[in-house]
Amino acid sequence: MTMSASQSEVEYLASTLIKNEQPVTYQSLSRELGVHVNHAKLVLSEFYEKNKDKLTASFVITGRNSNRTLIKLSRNEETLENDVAQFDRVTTIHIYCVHSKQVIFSNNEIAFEELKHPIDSSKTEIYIKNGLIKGPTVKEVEKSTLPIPTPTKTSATRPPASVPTSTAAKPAKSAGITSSYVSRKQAANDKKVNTLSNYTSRKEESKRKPVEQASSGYQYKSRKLDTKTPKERVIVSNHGPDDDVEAEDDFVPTSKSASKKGDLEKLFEDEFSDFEDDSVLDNAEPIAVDDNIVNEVEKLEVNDETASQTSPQITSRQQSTEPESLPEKEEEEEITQEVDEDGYIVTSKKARPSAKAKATSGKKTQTNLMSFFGKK
Amino acid sequence: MVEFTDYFNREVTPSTEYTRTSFKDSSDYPKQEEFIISAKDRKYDRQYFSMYQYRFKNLKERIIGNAIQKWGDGTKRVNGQTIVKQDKILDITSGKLCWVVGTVFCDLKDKLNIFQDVEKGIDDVLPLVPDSYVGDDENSMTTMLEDESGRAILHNEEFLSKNILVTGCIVGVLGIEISAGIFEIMDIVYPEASPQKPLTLKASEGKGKVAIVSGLNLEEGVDADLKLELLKQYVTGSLGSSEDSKTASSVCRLIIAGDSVKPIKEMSDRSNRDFVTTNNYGSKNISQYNPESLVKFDEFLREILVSLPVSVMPGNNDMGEICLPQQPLHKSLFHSNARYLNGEYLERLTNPYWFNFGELRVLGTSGQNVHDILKYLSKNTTAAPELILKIMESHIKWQNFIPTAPDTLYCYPFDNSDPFTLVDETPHVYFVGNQQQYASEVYTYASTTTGNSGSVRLVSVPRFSETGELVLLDLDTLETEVVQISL
Repeated sequence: MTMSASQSEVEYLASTLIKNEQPVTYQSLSRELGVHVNHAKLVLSEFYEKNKDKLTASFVITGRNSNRTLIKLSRNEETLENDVAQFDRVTTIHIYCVHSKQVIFSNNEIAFEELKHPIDSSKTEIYIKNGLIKGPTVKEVEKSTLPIPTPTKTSATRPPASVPTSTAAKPAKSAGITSSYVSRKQAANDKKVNTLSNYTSRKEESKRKPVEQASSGYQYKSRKLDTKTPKERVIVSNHGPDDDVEAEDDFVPTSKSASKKGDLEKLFEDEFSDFEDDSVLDNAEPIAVDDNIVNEVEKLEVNDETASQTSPQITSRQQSTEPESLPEKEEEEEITQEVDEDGYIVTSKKARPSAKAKATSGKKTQTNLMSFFGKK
Repeated sequence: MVEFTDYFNREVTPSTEYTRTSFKDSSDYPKQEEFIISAKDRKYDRQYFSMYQYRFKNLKERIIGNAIQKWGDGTKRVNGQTIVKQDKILDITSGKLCWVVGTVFCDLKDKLNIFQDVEKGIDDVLPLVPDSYVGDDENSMTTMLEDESGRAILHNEEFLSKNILVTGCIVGVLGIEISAGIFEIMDIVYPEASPQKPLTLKASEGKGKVAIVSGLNLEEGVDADLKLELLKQYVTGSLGSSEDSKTASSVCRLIIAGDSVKPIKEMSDRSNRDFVTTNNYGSKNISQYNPESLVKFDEFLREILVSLPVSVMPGNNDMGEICLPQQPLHKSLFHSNARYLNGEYLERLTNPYWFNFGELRVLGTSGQNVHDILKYLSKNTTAAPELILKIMESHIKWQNFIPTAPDTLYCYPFDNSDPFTLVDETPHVYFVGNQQQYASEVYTYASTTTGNSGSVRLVSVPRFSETGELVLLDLDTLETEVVQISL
């Protein structure tokens, strides 16, 4: 053998094969050191010849057997003779893998070793220089148009979270009566925004802070995202929205289903706004039907009579719905619901907020109730 | 005798560089889209009747032409009896020699039966497909011929065992009604073969070869398959001598014909198949696929794609739908190869698929059509390569390569069309994937009416995971060759 290995190659082989007792295949050697595969074959077999006492090698025999091309892996030098006998004509025999005699590697382990040196598609030129067959030029998709896979994005944007949310929302809905109540309030709310700007703005202000505070109470929302998504979903790959254009183009959702979905979502949204309202009511100043506000509303109505959107009937209903909801909310506000890791809904009563609520709004609710019944 | 050590490192020279034969066909070929069903057209509210009707209408005329040529209508006499043509099965008169065209229907004991499922209340569960449709009593098997007017039981065991007939083939039969409803079959006529595209084979053209492999069955876990590693190294040209690299460089495309990943083991053994109910959202509905093996397949492709264009067809075990024609695998499964997806470099194909290499037409399936027909045959038959070739030959004879869909193979309800019928073209090469053994032969047919003859190269592609074999098809000569990787 005329081939002589360079200093660095010998060093690499010595440290990997003898010191670390790791297997080296011609391919891993070629990829590790960036040399031609055939050079690697030669270097490896030279190294093996010199260290036969410590090393064992497997070989690849290629050739023909009757009417087929046969590629045979021979376990070691002893089996080589038998394996060669299977061939009608041998093209070549070259070394495949060398490893220490001390350790026995199964084929699977050697294959696994090969997988540790995956191809890097950006270095194709080097591989071609090192014996890879040059393929036709790839019409590459521009990097910029390629969607960047962001597995984290999926957990954040994809709706998996919505599945558990729906379960969390269910119990609140289960009362049956509430669902009808919800839609009515929603309608009333919309109207409010449109017409009674003064009134709503005040509510919004008071709403904001408590909502932020309250959000800490809804910890389950974030926990779910952290723990559940990776557990249940293994994302093989994630293509950005443009990548699925083809598929999405095909599915033209009918407006009907879209609106249905919208309704569904609204339902859930509302469930939450309901909760938020509770917390608002807990801590905020009395906003519900104060006599002042009713008066104010009535005044505004008088002023706004020209506005076609608001009819007096609707506003009057709005007034009545507000107080109607209150007793129910009072019950709810002491109960917190969390979805634990197993997906069960844990309902617990919180002592502190309720106490707080009593301290601040105890009297207020009483008056509200009174005013409610009083009106009727 | 040459000492084997003489072969050591022969022709292993670190200087040669090879450029792969590339074969690019720019001509437009509409059949490549034949099996694509766009998502918005996937309507399942139709009846299968229309598909059968189309098949019958299309093939009937072609059979009548052949039958007139062979048997005539009142013009030929056999044993003192005149052969007459009957238009309908109902018109057959007892004791008179006649021929008639109809659709074959096989009544087998263990065939899946939706009515039974409904009766038992298990029609919402996807039934386990049996290994054979023939029941324990092989005599209970009846082959019938039917048309819109009626049915006749075909009788002649010897004849039927020699000629494969399965549900859905359209044939013309000659015989005599021996007793009410029982037709003694004597001879058979198949439809006139569709024309083949004119093809001139020039050995010097240098189109190269295509490698066809099927049943890679990549698995999850650390048990990497060394055969797959050697396959990668072989097709990319690093394994073996310069001669081997040269052969490998003549391969212009790798076709993966189905079953690239292995379904989760426990699933197939599981007697409790509750998870395949129509309740797709229950906790019992567990995926049949391990995402790890899908990732592995993706990585496997990446190693090959740096050097060799690949076409992937879905198969029975792949993550595609159950219905034929199977639509291309979703591009998300080829995540790490996204950069190859837009061109022809990595093609996601349907199963079946019509390939087009210049004038050469290659029809390929992932093997379900052959496996299904094997289930119609007696339990004792082994899937010998000769039998596989005989089935494939029958496909060409019947001019329909998936006749058992929609009867025993799940199939999309096509409206007044049947893409599995060779309506306007017969391929030059026809391969099926995922078979037990490699086999190949040339089937030559002669058309009786037009006098045209044609030949189809039939290739049975074995499962790589079991045999370590891939098939090289020479696009110039249509010769096939096996490369076996053995550990």
